[in-house]
Amino acid sequence: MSNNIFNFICCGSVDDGKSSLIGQILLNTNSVKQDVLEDAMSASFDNGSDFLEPGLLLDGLLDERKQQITIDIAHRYFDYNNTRYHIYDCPGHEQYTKNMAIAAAEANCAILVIDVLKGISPQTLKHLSICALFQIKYLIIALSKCDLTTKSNTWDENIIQKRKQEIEEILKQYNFNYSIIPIDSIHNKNIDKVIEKIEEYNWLYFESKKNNFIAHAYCSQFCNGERYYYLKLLDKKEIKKDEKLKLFPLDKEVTIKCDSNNGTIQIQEDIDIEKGNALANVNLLVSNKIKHHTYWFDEPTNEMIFHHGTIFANITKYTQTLIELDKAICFNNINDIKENGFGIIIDKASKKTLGVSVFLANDNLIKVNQKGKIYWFSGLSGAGKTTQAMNLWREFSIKPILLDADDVRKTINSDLGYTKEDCYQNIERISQIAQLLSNQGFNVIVTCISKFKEQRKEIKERLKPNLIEILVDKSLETLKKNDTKGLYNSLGTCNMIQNYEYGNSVDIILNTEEKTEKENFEYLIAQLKKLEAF
Amino acid sequence: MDNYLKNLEYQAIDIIRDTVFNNDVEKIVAFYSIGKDSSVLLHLFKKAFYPNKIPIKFLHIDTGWKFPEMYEFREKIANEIDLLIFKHPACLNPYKDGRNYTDIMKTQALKMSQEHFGFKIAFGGARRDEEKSRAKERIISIRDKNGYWNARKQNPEISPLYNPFYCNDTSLRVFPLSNWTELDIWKYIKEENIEIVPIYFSHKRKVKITTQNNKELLLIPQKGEKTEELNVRFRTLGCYPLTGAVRSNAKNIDEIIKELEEVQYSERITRVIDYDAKGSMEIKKQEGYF
Ligand SMILES: Nc1nc2c(ncn2[C@@H]2O[C@H](COP(=O)(O)OP(=O)(O)OP(=O)(O)O)[C@@H](O)[C@H]2O)c(=O)[nH]1
Ligand SMILES: [Mg+2]
Repeated sequence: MSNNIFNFICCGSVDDGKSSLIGQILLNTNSVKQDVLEDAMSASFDNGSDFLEPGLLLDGLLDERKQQITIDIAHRYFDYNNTRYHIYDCPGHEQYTKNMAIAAAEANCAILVIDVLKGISPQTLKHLSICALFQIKYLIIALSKCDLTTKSNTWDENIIQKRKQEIEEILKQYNFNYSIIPIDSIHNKNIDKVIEKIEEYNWLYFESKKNNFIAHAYCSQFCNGERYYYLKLLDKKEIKKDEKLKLFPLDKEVTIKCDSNNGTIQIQEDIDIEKGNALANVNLLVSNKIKHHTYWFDEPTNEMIFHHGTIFANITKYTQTLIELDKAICFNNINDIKENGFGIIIDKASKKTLGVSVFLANDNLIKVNQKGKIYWFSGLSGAGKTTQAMNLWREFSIKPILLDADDVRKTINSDLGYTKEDCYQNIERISQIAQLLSNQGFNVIVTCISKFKEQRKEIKERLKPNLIEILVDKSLETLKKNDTKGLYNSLGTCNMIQNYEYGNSVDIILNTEEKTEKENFEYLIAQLKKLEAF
Repeated sequence: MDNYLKNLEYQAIDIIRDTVFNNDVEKIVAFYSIGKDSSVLLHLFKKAFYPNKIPIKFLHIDTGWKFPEMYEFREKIANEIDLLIFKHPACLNPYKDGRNYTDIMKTQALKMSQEHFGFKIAFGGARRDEEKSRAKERIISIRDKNGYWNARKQNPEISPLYNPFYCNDTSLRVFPLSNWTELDIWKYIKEENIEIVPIYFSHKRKVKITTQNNKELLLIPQKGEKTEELNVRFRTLGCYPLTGAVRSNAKNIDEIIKELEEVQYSERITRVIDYDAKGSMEIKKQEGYF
């Protein structure tokens, strides 16, 4: 076996068939020993079943078997085609959601099980958002219990199709790499397809994984006059002699003295590496103020400890978006490097783990009483504002609020028409709402033609520095040529929308005429990062 | 070494370091059973603190009923590390005292030793793949003041950010080998050339052939019992009256690995004690067993 360990979770609402699917996966990959099978078999009979309940291969606690529900995660390991898989079978019951969340934090891939007859439930959505919070990129949706769609041996394709559409609609809000597979765990149908997908995602995951090296220092110790540093490695690998790494927070380069295969190193330079310092071949952020989103397992308390890397720091100040510590930590944002992108919160008195905090953005952005950013997409109708804006929206773990001029016109601004004054008023009101939301700390994405040069200038002046103006630009000729909405070739509306007043300086220009959607998106993210607005 | 095994090794070292570097070493102990998992655990401890010495003590809970080969091996290890030995004063007999034997000589002894030496954190070599209720346990497992495990009140845990702290009325059991399988243990023993008790390898032995749950169980005979001489080895080691041998010709580690890649049953079936009740491991754990 050569590959790394691939962690995947099985989640979804209560009783939708998670444990059964995992049990069936274990059986299909030949990973169940005879005595374990016999034990599950006898437990199935005890439960009044006359066949093996594959879920009982997982539900091993006495209470779980009595109540026929999963209470805590079951860990299983199996080897298949040269890879070690570590499966976490999560509980679906709402009461045990925290047990699902801790598994999700460690996972590289998720199977979300949805009962085809029940469809999407609130608990399904909760699990989905937890998967997104912890940056799980690969998602398999298993539509379970397809055998129950009809009384015969065939499946009702209409129901399955309908569910698929519902799911696809919801997944539009996220950027998972996903696939939907209808299954029947009791009769072992399509389980092979699920396994194939897991293998594919395993391959994709390691293929796209960057060769980052990050290690946090525990301490140094002397032996025979030589100084040794003990490290905690995030990516477990050997460290070679003469390898150069950057030391944080000192921002100095150090050189490894000898090969190391146990996370203990010596360095050539005469530099002190202290507890909590980090060595890396990538850039790390260093701060004691961290912008975060915390998933709480328990109520926060007055005195809490924060743990990240090898540091245990006191939390000196806590707000919903910002944690302040009495020591600086060396970290990354979760969407840059997941392994270095979260920490845990521990109660000082009871020593219980209270929550897990996901790091969201560079702390440079953080000011006390922080306001939300306003991402203002302007440009002609059809230029691609909504597409670009939605791509940005998907990148956020905590979703920004969307203000689309068309939507606002249908509701709050339904009293307005298309005269110059009305158009002006439309934009004005949108900017007022955006300001209100931003003041309360929400990020806002506005998509609005906003053609008046003077007005744009005025709004920008007013909302500086929280407003980022993004012009989505496509030439009028091209728009007229591909006029799907019929906007540019009908006389009624053409006048007001055609003359976008160019001229003042904008923060970012996305040229949708010459560059592809992907190029523009990458450019947008890079520019926003440069502006420290993402 | 295989990548995945290297990962398991580093993970175990992280767990050991997180726990030891953030606590008073006087409060920490590692249970040493003389078995293969303990040997791997000991090796990982050496590696975690190399080039310095292991800063904590190891402890063997003796029952007086271990295999002679185990006591011999223990002598050797005692020269290398700081090894304490603790034996419950009751000195029960497994042939006569049944369930009480395990409860007192192992579970109670374990808790008593912790109190006796004042340990709050105990490392153990248990693995999740050993048993269905172990598969549900955290790597750092909280026990209440009686040493009891409550499956419904486990601490949230996210690798690699372990929480190695206890408070006044809790203590910790730490299992760095949680994510290893039996096969991983053997592959690692091979890679790292770790010394183990020789009766893990095939040897000739007179055994009493019995069955348990319709499966063959080869036990150490008592006086006067009918025996047969077979080629056997042990997959697990414990108290000899409660440990069964398996038929095997595997004379070296490669042959053991090959044997295990095809084996039908898990190692649990060689233990007599696990079959006295359904879910008995879970009940023993609730009562404070490892
Ligand atoms: N007919 C049919 N029944 C299924 C299928 N999958 C699961 N079941 C049944 O659904 C019930 C719940 O299955 P589990 O696998 O225990 O569900 P779970 O999602 O693990 O439940 P929790 O972990 O408690 O949330 C059991 O009675 C299963 O036998 C399926 O594909 N077809
Ligand atoms: Mg379940």
